[in-house]
Amino acid sequence: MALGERLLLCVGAAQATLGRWRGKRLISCQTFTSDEDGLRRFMMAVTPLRRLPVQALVDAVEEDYRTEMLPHASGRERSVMVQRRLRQLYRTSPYHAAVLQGREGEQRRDDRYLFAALTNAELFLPWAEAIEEARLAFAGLYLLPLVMPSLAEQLGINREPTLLITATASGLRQTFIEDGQLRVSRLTPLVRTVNTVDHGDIGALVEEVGNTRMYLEALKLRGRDDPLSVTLVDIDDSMTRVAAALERQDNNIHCVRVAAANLVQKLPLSAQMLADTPDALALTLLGLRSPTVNLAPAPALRRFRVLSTQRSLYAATSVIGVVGISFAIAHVWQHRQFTAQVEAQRVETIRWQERYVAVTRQFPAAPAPLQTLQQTVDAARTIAAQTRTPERAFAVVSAALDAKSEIGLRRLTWRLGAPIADNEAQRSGVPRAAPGQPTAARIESVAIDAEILGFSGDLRAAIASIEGFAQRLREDAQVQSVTIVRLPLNLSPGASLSGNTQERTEQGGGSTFRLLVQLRGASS
Amino acid sequence: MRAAGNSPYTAPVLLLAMVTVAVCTLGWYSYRIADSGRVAAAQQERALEEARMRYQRSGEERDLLTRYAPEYRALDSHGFIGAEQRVNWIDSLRVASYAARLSGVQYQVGAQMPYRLPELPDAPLAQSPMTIDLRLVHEGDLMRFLRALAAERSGVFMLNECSLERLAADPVGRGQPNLRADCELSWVSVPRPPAGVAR
Repeated sequence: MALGERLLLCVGAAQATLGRWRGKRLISCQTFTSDEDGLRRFMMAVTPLRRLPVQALVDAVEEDYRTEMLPHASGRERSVMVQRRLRQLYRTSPYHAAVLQGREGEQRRDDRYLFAALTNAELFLPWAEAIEEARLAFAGLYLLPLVMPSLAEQLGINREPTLLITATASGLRQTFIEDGQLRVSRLTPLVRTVNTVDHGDIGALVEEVGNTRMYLEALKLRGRDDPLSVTLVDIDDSMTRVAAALERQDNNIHCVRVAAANLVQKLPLSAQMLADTPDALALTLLGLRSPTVNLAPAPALRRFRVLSTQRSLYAATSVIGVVGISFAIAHVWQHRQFTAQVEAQRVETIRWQERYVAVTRQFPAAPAPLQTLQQTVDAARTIAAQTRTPERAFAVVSAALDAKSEIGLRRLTWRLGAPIADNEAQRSGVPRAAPGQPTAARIESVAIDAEILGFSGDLRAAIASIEGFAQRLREDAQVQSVTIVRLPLNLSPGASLSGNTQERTEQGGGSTFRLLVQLRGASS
Repeated sequence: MRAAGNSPYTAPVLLLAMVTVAVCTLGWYSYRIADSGRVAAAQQERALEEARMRYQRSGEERDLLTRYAPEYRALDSHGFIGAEQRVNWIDSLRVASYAARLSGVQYQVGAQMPYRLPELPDAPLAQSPMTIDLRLVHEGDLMRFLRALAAERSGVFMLNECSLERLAADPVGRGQPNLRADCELSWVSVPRPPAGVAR
């Protein structure tokens, strides 16, 4: 089943024509009489095609069109108002519809509606029952004149008011089109020979056109003296004389005949099919564009709605499938591209690595990876640069002691790293557990524990000597700072003080003191 | 009411769901494949760039090798590289003590531990803390001892702290120690790299 494929049915009083629409054209037509035999044959024809939706046209005298003005409304209010009016107008037929054709240009600007109905429902009911029995998806019911504006458009005659005359299987159809819209239509059953109008009775045809003109004047669609443009669609080229006869009436009628060859050029329709059945024209117009005025009641469209929804779901499935597969193919293609790129780059990498190995064969033997070499040597250099001995500190202290002979050294502590703290206890000579990690700034500091030699108890003199000793150290260019941590006598006003002036001084007791010296950084 | 299984929409909805799931799975799987290819391509590109750069820097590498290798070998021969050399250190203490004419050295070596230089935080250094206790006749003996110890080149050490203390106030015999020195130092070393990864 091709997308858009459907069945088109044109129902008249005496017969019905079933067409099959595929690929934007009618591919076959079959005619059935409006009797039991015709319906049985119709059932046989459509039963194998139950997956196709069917649209129907009715070409009958029992039709009604009326243009009415209703107050402007919208939404649900408009729908309720139109439905109420439809019930009032067409109480006996379920096949009716209305379409909004525009608004009046003056006063209240009311909405102009075209109300249309098949007033004799019995005409279509047997076919509707057959469609239901065959479980076909019924998509819509339209009156044949509703497809005529489409014909006028195809022929390029929709700009000016025109009376479009076509021969159908049911008779002579006269449709008045103004502003591209259907205004009024008449069907006149004529005596037919095979599928063509009995053009022997030209006079009757001309008379019917005259009647239509009077009808238009009665409806005030045309004035008495207004010229009337008539387009005669001559499907079997048998109305040449009719056109001439119409113009001879000198009734201000301008007649244009459209020959079958013209129709075939402008519509997707074969001359043979048109010759076989005049309904092929209306079915083609229906296939090209479905009218907006659908007379089918909502319950009759149930199966079509299901079919449409199913088709939408299948279409969505197809789209998702196609998009997904395209997505996957694109990714797989991308993966192949990447794989090819990786392979090419792998070969290139090996080539560069081989070049590197060839070059490094010329290198002297390396005892370790280059990074290790560099790191190890740099570490050793850094350690060497930071390594110090107490020699400089000893020299500084010795020079100060030489200048102060009354000072006797008892203990000297040198440290490289965190400076010796003021309150750090004297070491007892017992090894410490482990040294700390090196700090960013490794500072040389010295703690001097000394005494006043020959101390006689003169604290003032002793303190002066100690301060002189500290001053001597401060004067050394290599000394950063000197702090007297402890004096023989605690002079702090915040501390309690006690002692014995008779205390022996031979061992230097009472004259010991402690200095902290911090040396300036020395270049290695 | 129509049973759910008889709904005219069951088949298309099921098909839609199955196709959606299949497409999502296929899309996810194909995306993963493409992504893995993308990652592999990026990795290979980096490897290629690295190989190219390494080749271009081979001259620089040769210069560095020429510059650092002799010093590295010297450090290796001095015991800076590899496991700690306690026997060599103790031997060096003995030799340095003799050279400085000391009566002997009392020592204590602590357990090896990591050592971090602030200037080279990534260098995998280790330190073995050692304390030594000496008896000196003169403070100059300490410097002679330290110089002799460094001259032994049995490892790289850093002196952290030294204390000198007068032993007694009473007069002592000539040539008898009258000072006590105790020092704290760190023998620093780096682990030897595994064999076969010279370059």
